[in-house]
Amino acid sequence: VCYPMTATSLGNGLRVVVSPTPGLGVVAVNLWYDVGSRHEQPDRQGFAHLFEHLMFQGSRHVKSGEHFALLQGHGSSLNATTSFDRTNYFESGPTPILDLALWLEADRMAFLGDALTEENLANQVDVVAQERGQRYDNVPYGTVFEKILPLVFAADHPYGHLPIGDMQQLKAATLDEVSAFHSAYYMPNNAVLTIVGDVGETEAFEKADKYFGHVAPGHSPERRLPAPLGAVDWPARIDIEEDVPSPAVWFAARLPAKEPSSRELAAVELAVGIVGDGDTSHLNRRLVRQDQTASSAGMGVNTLVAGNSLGVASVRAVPGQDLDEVVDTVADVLARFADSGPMADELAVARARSERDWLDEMATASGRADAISEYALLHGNPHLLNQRLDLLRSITPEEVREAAREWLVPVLNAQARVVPEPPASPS
Amino acid sequence: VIVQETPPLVAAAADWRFPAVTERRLDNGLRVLMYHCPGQYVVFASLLFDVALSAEPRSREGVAGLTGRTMPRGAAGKSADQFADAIAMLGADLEASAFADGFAVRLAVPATNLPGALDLMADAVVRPSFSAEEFAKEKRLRLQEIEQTLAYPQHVASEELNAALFGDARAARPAGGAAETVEQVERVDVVAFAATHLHPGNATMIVAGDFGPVDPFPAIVESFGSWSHPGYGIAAHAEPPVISGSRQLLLRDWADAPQSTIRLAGQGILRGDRRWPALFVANFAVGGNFSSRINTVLREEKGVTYGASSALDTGKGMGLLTVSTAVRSDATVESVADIVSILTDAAGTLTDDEVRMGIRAATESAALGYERAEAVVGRVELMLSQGLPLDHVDANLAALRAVTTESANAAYVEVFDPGSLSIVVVGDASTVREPLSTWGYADLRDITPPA
Repeated sequence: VCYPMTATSLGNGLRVVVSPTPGLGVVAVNLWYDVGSRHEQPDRQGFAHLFEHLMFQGSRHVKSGEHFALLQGHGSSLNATTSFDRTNYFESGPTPILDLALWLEADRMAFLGDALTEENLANQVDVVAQERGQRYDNVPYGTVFEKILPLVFAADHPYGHLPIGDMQQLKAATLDEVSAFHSAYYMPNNAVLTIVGDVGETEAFEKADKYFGHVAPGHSPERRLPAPLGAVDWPARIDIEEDVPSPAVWFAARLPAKEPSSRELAAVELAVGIVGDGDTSHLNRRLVRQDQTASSAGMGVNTLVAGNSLGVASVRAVPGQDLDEVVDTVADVLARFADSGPMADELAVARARSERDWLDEMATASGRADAISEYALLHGNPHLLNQRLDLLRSITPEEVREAAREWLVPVLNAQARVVPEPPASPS
Repeated sequence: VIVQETPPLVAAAADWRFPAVTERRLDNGLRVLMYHCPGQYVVFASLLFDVALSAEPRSREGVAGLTGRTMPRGAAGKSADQFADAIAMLGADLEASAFADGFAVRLAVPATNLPGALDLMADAVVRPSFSAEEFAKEKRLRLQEIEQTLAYPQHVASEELNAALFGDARAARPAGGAAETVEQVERVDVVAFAATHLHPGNATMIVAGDFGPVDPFPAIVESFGSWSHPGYGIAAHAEPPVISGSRQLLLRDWADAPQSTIRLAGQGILRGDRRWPALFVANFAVGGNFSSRINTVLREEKGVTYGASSALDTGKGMGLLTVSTAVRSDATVESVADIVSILTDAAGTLTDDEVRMGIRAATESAALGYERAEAVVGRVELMLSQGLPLDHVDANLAALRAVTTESANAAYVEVFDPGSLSIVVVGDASTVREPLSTWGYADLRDITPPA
């Protein structure tokens, strides 16, 4: 499977990638801006995400709420997300929505400021506070990820805090800061536009130019990436007592940064797959099925560009289980794997799973558009997307073993342990 | 440079039809429905059995779920680990689970590996080991899962709503069984459940994906053709549950919760009801999209929630209209009252614009909604398990286009009674009990959590 795509740039620096799927009946529009929580000022944690919310509150020619209403009213799905590295905005729907989607995106890229009001800002600060409540604060174990991050990245590192941010800091944000943020990051020459689906290449490029060609370029921010850090080499641990049903432990690790051709990261991803992903993973087999000391166990990778990626493992222990024993077992699983490396079948399984995941991600126009934007924005070459499977297939068992030794074993050095609060004593 | 100041007009979406079905039947009675979906290189398959959760013995609820959990844990002479390795080697996932209206064994696999994966699927269904050891592990994991989910207010709110709505019916209790009944389930119960209910005579194999030039049917025959079963029982279906509680307000204490998790529900209808399309459009306007009346007030005007929505829930042989949200604790009673007001005021007031938007949204999203093979299989599962004909999606789209402002208003008023809602709040009683108890919709009842 190979997805066709063509890339160009408009006069204002907007990179445009088109990947036609004739006859699909669906079109996807996807924009990645090169701004995420890693770009935030230290006293405005969560600002990039708050700003993402404000992008739906109207712009010069679009009334508040109209963005959603117009697109949903024509059978489209749309949303936006903010992560450490970037903010993405996307819509997909029946082919005739293409012009509308491009017009709406261009209007808020060019003219957001006209519609910003104190009222909108205050309202979305409130909404984000409730989003934080729903996703983190009112969820068992919901804040552990946030608490473990400082053990692998210093507070002033780009990845030292979560995109959801600090609600007190957001309450202090002013309208001027919001406008300044738009001027600093939201410009055609700091973004990628991808159009995928039932539209011809020529027509798609013409429409991109028609709607975005007028947007003035800005002073594109220089991409500053911190130096890569090695694995954490000293133990750090936090202990948390909370109202949770059973003890649990989280581990975090610095991993190699995302570069599409990085064999080292690909090897790490395969190693993590074997150790921590799915039914056949070593952690699941040992802790959940063999020892029966845990109800779930796994590990995943958040691939990132600023010096390092982030790996997180977690084990939900059974009630009453001693976490020292669980941690010792995780250490044993990792040590054995780092020592012997993957068996031939295990590497084949990890590749097969990666391939399935990739095909699944590519199964919708929207999924393809998002992946293409990622490669185009963060790595400067959308075509690298089509080389992903070849890279994974070429990784050797020795590379996987080396990746485990170098990067996975140190995950033990950053731990967050959560234990249930003791029952309240009767008053 | 001229900047366009008004939104571009959007032409009507091209006609879209649900993927065409190829239907076959095996000699052993197994019905096969195949949907070729170009570009879908991951094939999804579901072997759907016609057995509702209400078939579980009352004292052994959870047996269907445990049958599903244990089924892929070893088969045809392979141990649990060997079987899992074989599936993973094909890049496949295989799981089995029970839901209100059916029992499904589901497979996802790259198209190139479909025949091998179907063989393994058949092993799990026809030749499962159901070993004592693996059953014990799955039972323990289910009990742990129950304990975990009870720590999530969203989950608890939904369970308490079902309990409040359905009295003694199966639908009042957790689909996977509660701790006290799961404790009672033994390996022999799982074996008996499979023997009684899982046979080719009451099963349908649904497969969707890009089959390329290869007809998938021979591979299905190869894998499932030899599956025989001594007795073909006819699936028993219990009477659909009726809503037994009406105009009730319940509070489950969640100490120090920063948010109150809220569920409201009232009578809805089944998808086969002639009023379904009109009610669907009405619900879209009231709470079924981001710009709906409910979300606009609670999120965009008041900022007390990340989101609030309503949905038409079908299954279990009956229909509901439910509203779900989580709001800032100190805005609990105000939010619940707002929702009830919006639901009440909607009667007879749906506008032409709202109805037009709902119709376009529902009809023109079809190509997008069924882009993935998984979505196609999921919809066929839903249609079969709810007794709908295979042309339901296309027929429903045609009926949606014929909805009018009058018919949407009429359906809403006829079906839905905002005066008889069941309302569940999971929140910090020390701050929300007092305002809720003086609100006046219904007497406040405290839910006592199980010891």
